[in-house]
Amino acid sequence: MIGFEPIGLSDLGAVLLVLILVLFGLASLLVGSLFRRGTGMSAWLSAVGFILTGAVCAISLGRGERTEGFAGGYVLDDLTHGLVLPCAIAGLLTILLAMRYLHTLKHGAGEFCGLLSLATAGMAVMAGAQDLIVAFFGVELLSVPLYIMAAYSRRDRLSNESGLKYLMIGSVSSAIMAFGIALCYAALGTTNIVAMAEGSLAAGPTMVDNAFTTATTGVGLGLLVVGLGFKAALAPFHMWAPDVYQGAPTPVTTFFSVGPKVAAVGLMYRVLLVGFGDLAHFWAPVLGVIAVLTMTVGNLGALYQSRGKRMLAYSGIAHAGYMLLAVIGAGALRAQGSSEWMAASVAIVFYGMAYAFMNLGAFAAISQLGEGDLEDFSLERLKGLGRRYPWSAGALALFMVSLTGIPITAGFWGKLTLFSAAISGQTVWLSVVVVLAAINSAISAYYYLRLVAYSYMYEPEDTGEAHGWVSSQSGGWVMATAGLGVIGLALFPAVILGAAEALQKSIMP
Amino acid sequence: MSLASWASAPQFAPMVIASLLAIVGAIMMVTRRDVVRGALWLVITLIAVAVLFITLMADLIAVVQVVVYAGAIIVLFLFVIILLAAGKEPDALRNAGPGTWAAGAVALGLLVVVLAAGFSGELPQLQWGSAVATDSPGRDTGGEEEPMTHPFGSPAGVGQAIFSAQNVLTLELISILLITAMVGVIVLAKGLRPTGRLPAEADEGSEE
Amino acid sequence: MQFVPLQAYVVVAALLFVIGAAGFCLRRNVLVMLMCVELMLTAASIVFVAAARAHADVNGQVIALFLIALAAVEVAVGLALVVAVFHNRRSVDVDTVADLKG
Repeated sequence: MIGFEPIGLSDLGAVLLVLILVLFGLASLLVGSLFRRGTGMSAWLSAVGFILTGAVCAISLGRGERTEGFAGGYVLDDLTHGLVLPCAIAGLLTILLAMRYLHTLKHGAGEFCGLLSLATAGMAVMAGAQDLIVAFFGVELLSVPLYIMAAYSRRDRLSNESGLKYLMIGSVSSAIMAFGIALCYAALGTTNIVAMAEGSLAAGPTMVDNAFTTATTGVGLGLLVVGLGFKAALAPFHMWAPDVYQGAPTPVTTFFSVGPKVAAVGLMYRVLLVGFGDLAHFWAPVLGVIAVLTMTVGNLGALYQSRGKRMLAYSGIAHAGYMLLAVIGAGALRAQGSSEWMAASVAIVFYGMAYAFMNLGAFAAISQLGEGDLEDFSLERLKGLGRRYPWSAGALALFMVSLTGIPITAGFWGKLTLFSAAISGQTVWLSVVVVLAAINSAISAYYYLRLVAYSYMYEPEDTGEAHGWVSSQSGGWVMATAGLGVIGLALFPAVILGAAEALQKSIMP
Repeated sequence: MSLASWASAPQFAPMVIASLLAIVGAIMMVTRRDVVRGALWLVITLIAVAVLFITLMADLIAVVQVVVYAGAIIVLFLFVIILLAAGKEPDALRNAGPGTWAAGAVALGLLVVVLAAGFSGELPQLQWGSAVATDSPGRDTGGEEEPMTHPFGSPAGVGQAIFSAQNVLTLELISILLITAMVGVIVLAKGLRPTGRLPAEADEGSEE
Repeated sequence: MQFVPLQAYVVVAALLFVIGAAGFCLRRNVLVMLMCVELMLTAASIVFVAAARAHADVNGQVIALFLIALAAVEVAVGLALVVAVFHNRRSVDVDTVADLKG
């Protein structure tokens, strides 16, 4: 009997994180639109939502508990907690970073915070979805607010076009995903990934039953991955990302570059391994190629950028490629029939945390260069930063070193866990992938450390106030928080890595 | 099973006619230079798809398809087309770059795979439901609930399924999505005038 | 009693999907491109409804309903953005909406 049972409190408990984010998001929307001067209030409401969510995640992470709800459609396990935590941090810091931008808006400032909360709720849905349809609508709930936020400065041509471009790409990738899910459903008769894997539908078809189910599931899965690849800006589906990132207001770009990527890679991990593990020998090598392409395209692209936002856009593409390594390593293990694949989840969580802090910090540091939050600015402007603003320059250097992955930084531990997750598959092609990833990291050192060199090795050009520095208090707070996070993760990586066992335990029913 | 045996199915003739109409409508929509005509061809496709839904015992979906899709959504399209006077393009198809051809090749390859899989060898044992399904072989919930007594695809049956534990989460997500879209549209379009002139500077001055 | 097989519906849907995708790649009018996306979503709902019938699982029909709602959401936001861009641009041609290139 298909779940015609009523929903109960345990169902609501399973979606606790989503509930918190949605409730505070809606309250924030309401306050923002009801009161003309409600911006501060709605920013506070959203921030409280993020803090609560983050706190719940931080407390629960490592307990190994698992709560299923909605007929198995959503699960609150340690992977969910671990994926939502960086997203909530990204949301909170983005609100802080956006305060300056919001004050320049004549209207819609309150709604901005609400939309940000709802987009994060979409990520929380993606993080715990065990049903492809729930996951799909989670992706939509993430995307629709982001379309709007990218176009938020409606008098600004670039912002508008960025929003439109994002919407066109986003909606076509949604359609591709929907068709992929439809094919999987046609072949297997369910959209629940656990049921798909078990073929638990009464005498139902399995993925390897016959030509129709295998081919249809395969094509469906391929389309699903393509759709998610567009959303996470994986090569060769990344072309839109630099343009959209450049045109969107800087705080929105900041959020773009962290949350959706972590959530999408997390979703891929869960769907591919829990749902389509039987096809791992088929998708793991394909993803390997995609990951290497993504890293290379991202890093080579970033080498040639002279503008801040575009450079960070390309670097974000590269980091999504690194995160994929965990999925690939786990897939290779799964293809060999080993159950060790669950160990890789901690790498995604740790890297997600580290990446959230590093990238948000880098954006906060660089966004102080521009004259406004819309402009993309030349990196040349960093020259002499070290002399004029020693604290900002120091923070920037910290984030850049960490993004490069130089030993004893958060980024280093992150890459180490990712690489070792990938190498644990113990096949030749995986070693090649890891070597290529290491070469890519070395390339990235050039463009990251160039910024540090700019800020310390040049004299400030004596242009006085016209230099275009706008330091804001909120930007300083973001840098401080992110800096503390990066240092904390570097010194005590065990805080997250210690949860590895619990993560493994709770991922499968 | 062979083609001849499918042809004896009562749904065969309407299915074939509706499919042909849908495909013709889609091709015409894509190739028309005049956007208004394209939108009208899309209406044909959408109504033909509604007929397909009826052959699949999905009467409610068919009605919603016509009312919401063909009714509301296309009217919104036509409204915007006329509002923006964006009716015609100089040439309908742009010069396709290599990327476009690659995408086309991939799409065609995909189609071939599905076609080949669909008609190769033995057809899978799919359980076509009886005309009046009394129960669904869904996933095990282990409960002793009362069985579904509504005919398959009837509004009552679909309604019950919408509010079942499996779908109600998605339903709530959609409600949030609709609120988001509404707020977003208001934020984006409030104060924009169709004449293309910006509102008074004092209104929005600092947003530039 | 004979039934038209699920594959026939899947093939029709795949054709519609490919036509929509081709239109999305080939057309330059944003409004037509949005219509092509609608076509692709409709193709997905055909597969869902046909599979619902084949598996006697009414959830597929519910998903088709959800997809129609989603189409409405995307069109609403998309058209609002088109109107906003048109204000700054006076054009709905994607080739002129290309300041961001390069």
